[in-house]
Amino acid sequence: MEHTATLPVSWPQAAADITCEELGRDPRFQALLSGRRRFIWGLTALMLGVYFGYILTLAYRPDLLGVRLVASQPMTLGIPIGFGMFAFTFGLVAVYVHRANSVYDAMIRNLRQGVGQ
Amino acid sequence: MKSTALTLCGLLLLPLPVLAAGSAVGQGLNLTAISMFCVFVAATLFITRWAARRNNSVEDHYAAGGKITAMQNGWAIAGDYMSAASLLGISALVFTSGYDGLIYSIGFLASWPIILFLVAEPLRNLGRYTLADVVSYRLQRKPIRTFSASSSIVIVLLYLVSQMVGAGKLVELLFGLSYTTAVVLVGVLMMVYVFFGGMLATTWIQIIKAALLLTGSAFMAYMVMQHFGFSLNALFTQAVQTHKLHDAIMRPGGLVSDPVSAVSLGMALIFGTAGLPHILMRFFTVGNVQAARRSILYATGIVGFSYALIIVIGFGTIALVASDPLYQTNQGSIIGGVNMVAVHLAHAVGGNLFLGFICAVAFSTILAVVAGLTLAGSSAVSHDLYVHVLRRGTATEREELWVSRAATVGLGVLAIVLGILFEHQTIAFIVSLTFSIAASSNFPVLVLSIYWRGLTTRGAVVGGSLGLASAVALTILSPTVWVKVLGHAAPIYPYEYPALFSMLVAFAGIYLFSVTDKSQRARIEQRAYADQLVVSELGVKAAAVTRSA
Repeated sequence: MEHTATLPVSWPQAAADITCEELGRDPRFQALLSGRRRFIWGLTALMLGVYFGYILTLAYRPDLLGVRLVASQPMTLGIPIGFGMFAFTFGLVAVYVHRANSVYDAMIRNLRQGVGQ
Repeated sequence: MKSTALTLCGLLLLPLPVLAAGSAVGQGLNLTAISMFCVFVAATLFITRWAARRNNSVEDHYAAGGKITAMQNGWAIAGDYMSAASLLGISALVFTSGYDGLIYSIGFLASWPIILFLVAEPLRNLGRYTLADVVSYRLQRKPIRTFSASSSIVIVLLYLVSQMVGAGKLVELLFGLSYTTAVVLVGVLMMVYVFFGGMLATTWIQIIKAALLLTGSAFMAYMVMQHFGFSLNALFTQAVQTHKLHDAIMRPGGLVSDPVSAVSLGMALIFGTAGLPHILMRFFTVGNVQAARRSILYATGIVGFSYALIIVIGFGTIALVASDPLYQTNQGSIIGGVNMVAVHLAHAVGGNLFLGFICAVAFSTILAVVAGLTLAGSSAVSHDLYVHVLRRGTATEREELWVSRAATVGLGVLAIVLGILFEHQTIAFIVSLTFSIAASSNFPVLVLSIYWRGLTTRGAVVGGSLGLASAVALTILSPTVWVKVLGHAAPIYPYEYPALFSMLVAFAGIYLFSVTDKSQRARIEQRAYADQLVVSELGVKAAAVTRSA
């Protein structure tokens, strides 16, 4: 694809004079960048930690997941933990979407509007 | 197009006199299933005709004009992602070893947060139609596009073959048609969808498939739970009594006996999805980053809920199908093999009509996945290889559209031929190989191009190719292929899955060949990262910035 030097129509005309370099140096851009990076790598680490924690438990201590919740019933600890993994995965996605919608989108909007002033 | 639908259904009914009619699966032609399937095919062809009228530009063809809503895209992603392996494969895995089925489905779902956090938004901001758009943003166009398109085509072809063989066997059992007829039918249908309807038709076929799969699974899971008074413990008690492994089905079993293979499989599943071209392509069909983000939320919900239902269905098959002689051959094995247990359960809880419905759902599942794959593969050929590598970006839209359509036909024919050739091969390893390759070639290059300033063209091409080659080589040398398929006595690579090592090779290779790249070109690429960063974060291109070409 060609990256032409034009702006989307929705952009304020003043922005046309701003270069990527200037935007990149804007402290608000730096704040957005560092905040977002911390957030996404933190969530990624959390997901990987929980997932591989589960996998390594399966590999090294499968007996832990095979413990019955109630001695007289066949339900084992592994079942709620397994279904819990589905819920946890969805939960993390929801956390990300919520924060991106409420915090980062606003910062991006703010950066766009402030451009050229 | 209507007449095409009729012809296709006629084609389906052709072997009627040859086969005896029967109600249960695997006993010849199944008329209920075939009529439901015909309704589905007719509906998809009708959609294709509708979409074809709106398929006028390159953007329409690859990305449905960017006009898909977040909710629609969420359903379409779910439809694109859940292959026949989901309903039939995971329920079969639960049927044979209980708890282990849950482990697989958790890995399949866990890839979605990774895609959302790391890849989806920069991808949407930097790219237009393909993965190569993103990685070639600041790298040298010709080599990086050639690499990225080639690895995408390898992934698409392998995945297509596995789906074609699966479809052939499934249709043979479900509808009583011959294997070859089935493969040709699947191939022709997917070519028609993509050739005429492009992304818009593909999207709606995926949406319908996801809705059908969810409805079918929900009904089956509901009927199973109703049978056991909505008590999971009652279901498990019956399953434990029936299954020959008894209590062991409630515990993790042999699937992850060896930690290296377990971690390796986990890495292939969790990172591989983020390198699958047909999945990544879906993010270009929505209007903006916000919609891309929300579509993953919907998709994760739909896929996660479906998997939870499928686990219940799996235990239901142990409790209700395993002991019923109706679903067994005279030798006591399951009619049609264990992959058919969910289909038998459909008969057990919903009778012939519901059986037909589930058969049609299983088949529609394959059609939606292969259509997405074909579109991704043909766009890699036309948009990356033809337009940007061969013609250096000078081709017209009209040309690009026709090359894309020609590539669709080429891929379709190739998939049909390979599908027929591979009928009697053991191909169970191909799906995991696909994920391993994606995790070791596309994923590292994509992630490093977004997050690492130091990446150079040389590093990306050499490292990515090393990752791809090592994933293929280690799979061939592993017990699954070297011993089980090729018949050697002992494997050269002792673990089942390659991703742990092949991903390491890819990342190390990309790093080494980037930092040692002292060319002028490399310095320009690294300097261009600052501009790319602004575009990738803000989704806009500032003026007065010219990209280093």
